[in-house]
Amino acid sequence: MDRGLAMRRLWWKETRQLVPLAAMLVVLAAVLHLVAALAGDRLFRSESSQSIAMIAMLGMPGLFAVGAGTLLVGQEWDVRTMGWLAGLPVTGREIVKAKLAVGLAGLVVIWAVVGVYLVGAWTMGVVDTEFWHDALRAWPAHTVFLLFAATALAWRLKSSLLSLLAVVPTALLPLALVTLAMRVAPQARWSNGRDTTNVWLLAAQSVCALAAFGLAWRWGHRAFLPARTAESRQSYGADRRPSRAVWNAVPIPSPYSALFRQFAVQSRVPLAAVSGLFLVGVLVDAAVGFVGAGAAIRMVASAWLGVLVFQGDTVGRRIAFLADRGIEPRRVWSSRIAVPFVILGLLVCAALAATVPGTSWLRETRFASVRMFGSLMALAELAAFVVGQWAGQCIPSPVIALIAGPILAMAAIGFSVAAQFSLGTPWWLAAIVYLAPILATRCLTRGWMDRRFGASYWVQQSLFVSVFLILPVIPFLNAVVREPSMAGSIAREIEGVVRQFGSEAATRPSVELVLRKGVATEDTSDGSATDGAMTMNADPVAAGVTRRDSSADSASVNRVHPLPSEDPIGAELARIAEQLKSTTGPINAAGYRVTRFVWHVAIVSRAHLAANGGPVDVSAASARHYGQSIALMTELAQRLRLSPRLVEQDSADLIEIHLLFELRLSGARERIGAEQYASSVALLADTASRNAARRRAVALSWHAFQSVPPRANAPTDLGGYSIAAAPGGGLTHGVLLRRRAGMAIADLWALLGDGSESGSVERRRRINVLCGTYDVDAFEPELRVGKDAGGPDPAVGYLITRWEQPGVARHWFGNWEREAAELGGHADSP
Amino acid sequence: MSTESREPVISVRQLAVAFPACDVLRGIDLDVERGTVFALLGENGAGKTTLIRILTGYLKPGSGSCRVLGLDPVRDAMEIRRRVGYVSDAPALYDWMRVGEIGWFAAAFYAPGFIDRYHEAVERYEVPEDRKIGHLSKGQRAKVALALALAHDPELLILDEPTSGLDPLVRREFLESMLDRVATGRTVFLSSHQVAEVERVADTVAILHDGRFRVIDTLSRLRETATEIVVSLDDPLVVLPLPGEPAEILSDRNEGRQRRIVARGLVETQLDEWRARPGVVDIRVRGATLEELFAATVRGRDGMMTGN
Amino acid sequence: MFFSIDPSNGVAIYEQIVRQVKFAIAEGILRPGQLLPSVRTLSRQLAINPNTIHRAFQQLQADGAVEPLRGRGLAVRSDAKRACVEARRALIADRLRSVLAEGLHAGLTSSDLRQLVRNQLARLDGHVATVASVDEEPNA
Repeated sequence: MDRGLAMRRLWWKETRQLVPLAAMLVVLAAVLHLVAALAGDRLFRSESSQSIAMIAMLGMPGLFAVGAGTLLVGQEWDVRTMGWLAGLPVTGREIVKAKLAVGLAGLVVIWAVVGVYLVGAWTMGVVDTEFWHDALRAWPAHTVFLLFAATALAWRLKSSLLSLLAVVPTALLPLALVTLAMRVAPQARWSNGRDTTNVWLLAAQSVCALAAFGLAWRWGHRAFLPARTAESRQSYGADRRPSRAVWNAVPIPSPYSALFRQFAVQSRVPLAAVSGLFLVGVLVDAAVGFVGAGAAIRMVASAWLGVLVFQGDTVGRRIAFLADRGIEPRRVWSSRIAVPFVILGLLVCAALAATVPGTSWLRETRFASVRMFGSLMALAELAAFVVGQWAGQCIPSPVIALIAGPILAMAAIGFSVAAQFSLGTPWWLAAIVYLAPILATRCLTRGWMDRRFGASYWVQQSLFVSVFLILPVIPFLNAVVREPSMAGSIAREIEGVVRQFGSEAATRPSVELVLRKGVATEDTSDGSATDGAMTMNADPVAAGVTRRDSSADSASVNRVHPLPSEDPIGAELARIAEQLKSTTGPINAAGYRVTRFVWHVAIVSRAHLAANGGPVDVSAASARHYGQSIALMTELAQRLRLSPRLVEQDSADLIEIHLLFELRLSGARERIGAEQYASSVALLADTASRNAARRRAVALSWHAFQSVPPRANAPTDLGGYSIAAAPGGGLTHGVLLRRRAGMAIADLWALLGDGSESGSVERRRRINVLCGTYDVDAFEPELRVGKDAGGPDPAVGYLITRWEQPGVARHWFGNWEREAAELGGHADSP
Repeated sequence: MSTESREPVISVRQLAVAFPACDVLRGIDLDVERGTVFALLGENGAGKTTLIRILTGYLKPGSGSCRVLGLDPVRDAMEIRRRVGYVSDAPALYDWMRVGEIGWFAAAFYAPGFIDRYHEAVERYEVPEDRKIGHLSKGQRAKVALALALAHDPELLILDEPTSGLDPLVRREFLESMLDRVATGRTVFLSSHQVAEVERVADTVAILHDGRFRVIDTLSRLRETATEIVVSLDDPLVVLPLPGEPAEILSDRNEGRQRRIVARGLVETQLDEWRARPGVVDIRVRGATLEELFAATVRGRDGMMTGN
Repeated sequence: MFFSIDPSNGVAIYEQIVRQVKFAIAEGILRPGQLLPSVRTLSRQLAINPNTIHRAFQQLQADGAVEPLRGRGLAVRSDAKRACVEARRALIADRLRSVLAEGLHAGLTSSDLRQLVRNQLARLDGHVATVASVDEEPNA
């Protein structure tokens, strides 16, 4: 016998047995990535942690380690090929060595795959290096330990199911050791807390891995030695149990009770172990004091209960006993699912009961409602059970089913949650689709019993899977399909305008004007109530601008400006003019304080001029201020119009309205000066260029909106306006928002095309709905002096205004434009 | 028992099934009369188990039809399995149950009387009732499986190589149980390659080879018509004419100057014709055993005859 | 009585049963009025298909060796013995003839054959117990 060839073949066989495990893990990783992509950023990403997909990649080597150990050894015991293997002319040592080596090699390969993935993610810049640095220091050694531990347990327990269950507590062994060591070792010797934990952990893992390796070697070797007499006697000797008369005396059970009993007795050890695991999860909650700490453990236990439903009979083809005797599939199905389901129900109730407020061990809860979180967890556990039982029927190998079950359950739950948040699926729909796996197993029980895993079986399973995946998506699809989108013709027109002006907008950035600190009145509200009032001291000596906090009970008059000789208002206006002169581009609506200040100056200075009396130089100053402010208002309007954003267009509208008011007053020309008056009137009368600017702004705003993908957490900006969020989140949010924004833009475009109010009530409504505008009553600014204002000082006057915030197209084609045009017409003919 | 009907218990017409790599069955016709033993012979892999799986509804035939107890296995497989006693090769039993327990468990699904018959059978087979099935020897397992299959007194017993690998005593027990069924008017469908056993107990024998029945006839007729002929020749190159229908040459081997032919339906006139041929020295005829018939059918001709 | 059935010796099984019953009657092992074992018992005992046994019994009935007794089974007829003795004689004569023919065919002379028969009888005489079943020699 060619020894080398024999050993190579043995190694090949072991490797070949691992392929389904590796393939399944890859598929599951892909599925988790899909779910994570669907969920988007909203659900799973927080500032400091990585997305669930990346963590899943991290988990892969661990699952592989556990699965490889269990599969290579445990499965051989289950299907009884170990005996055949022992009969080959290779020594037991070589077999044990081959299994360990192949497992280790496979683990290295999986780590290499994960490494490649991480490198790719790192080059894309989505990796939190600190987190991964920690993870990569602690985790690889742990996976090696898991591999050896799983192998050792499989050799000892001689069953894949039991060894898999036993691995769960064993996996925590290094952690437990480290905790123990940290308690025992004096704290003072170590300076840096986190580094020492890592070192201790690594040490514990190495020690445990070596111990597990030794045990695996020893127990593996022992499995091939002749069984000791005690074990032999147990195999073939008489059992010390009641005599045969027992079964004669017991009455024949009904079919259902016979089946229930058969299932319960057959699977009693795995059922007990998994129930124990579930209770451990509840205890972890108690130990940590936080509902949900043991959630992951309970989910795994629920999924495993589901897997046991069908896997209990798959082992050794036991189901053939019932199949050969023609037991109805419905009886088989209900008896398989009943016992684990009842057990799950009891456990879930126990977990729920423990969330009753006031339970002694619930020291601290971080959720507003423990009850609600507990209920959600109960639902999740039921869902995990349902998915687990489906996985248990579909997957022939018990080890792979046990590993895949919890992962599929979490993927399914993740999908449901993502669908609710991202696609706007109603909760009842997301819950109802969990009937699909139950129906699937019920309908395909016959195929599973007869082991007819042919094409028709898999087609039917796929149908049920499709129902599960597609049904929750239907509301989203429905909403998306029904939401109207911008007409193609309009899109093309807009596209034309964008091409014409797009580059221009890019090269001329907008400028935000600023005021010197302390000059402006305070922004106390969002503009819907009376803004801060500005007071002006009529006393020429203290011709400063004082500030009054309108919300305070007592008036605090703060003199914030220096001596009157410096003319602070004029200086400020000059400063504003400087800022305007220094650039040529459009100005930003964010500088609305400047605009407001200028406007206030105009009002107050006009009031001063209107009030008869007062020193001559005050009048002169006021006249100067008035003229300057009007000029500035004109220029501000012009510069706002240059902006490619809608908000500036509407801000310009507001200024122009105020300007029109001033220009229409009698004696305006004299106050302002003929030249300035003429140019201001010309600006106001130029409807054509105003509309052209608006059109440009609409097109460019839409263009800018389209080039930025809507983010779930950040507000969306359309032409400077914040868009109200669409219902749902994630995908729904993005798609519906785009559609609605498009419709709003189309409406604006049509509005501009029509040039009038005709037939645009509907449009207005749509625009308002999108941009959340509100109606504002007209408000005439008022200047009250002395006793009328209720103030103590008869000389002090109070200006009461309301600064309106810009709203989308609120003043387009208003009456003021007609009046402005008329004014322009009259200006030509004095 | 149901009314005695003249209808065959199992009836198969033109049954064919193909697996991805090979055609396992290529057109099978058979009828199994009530109260008889039908034996299906064939090499390993000839398709015996496939046929049985189709009859019990585990597989769907590619084409053709079959009826078992008047029911269609495609539609009523469960009903068939309930009414038939089916013992597969390597039957599935719950290893963790005890012998008495598994009978008690199975009794839940059948009419009353099951448990008594089961106990009686188990006692007759001398299987200890309080032992776990996982600890039984192979023969004892087979006996338990048979006891379970017989305990509900099925009209039809289907056995798929039940005694392969069992010792002669256990085989004998199986035979006795089978024949007991027939003596009370039930039917047995047996698939086996223990030809000697089949020779004792079968009423009808079918030899399955290459997806078709090469031989299907009652045993008595087979024995009457199957002959082994040893022809002594002067000259080994002498060629003998083929006999006409309905005689059939099954195998033909040369050994030096002697030729050994296994044939069916060969009549005396044909033998005389051969005797008259030049170069033929002597012809000895004797009845062929079923084993020889089987070997001849399966291995086929490898000699020289006209028309080959 | 004990039967000894050899399925593969060329003689049909039912025929073997018929012969052995007749020989037993001729020998006196089976007495007139005695019941034959039931089909079921015999089939279990010999592991032979009951239909075959049934056929054998029908044959015996047709040959007049047994008759049905209502409610009890088949019983040996009182006048069966002589017929069976005759049958036995005829069968042995047949076999003797075929052996002698074989001898003649092989080239032995009549006197050789006679000598052989005398010698063999001399050797066997007194050493063979009369038994109900006959050991059939397999055909050459």
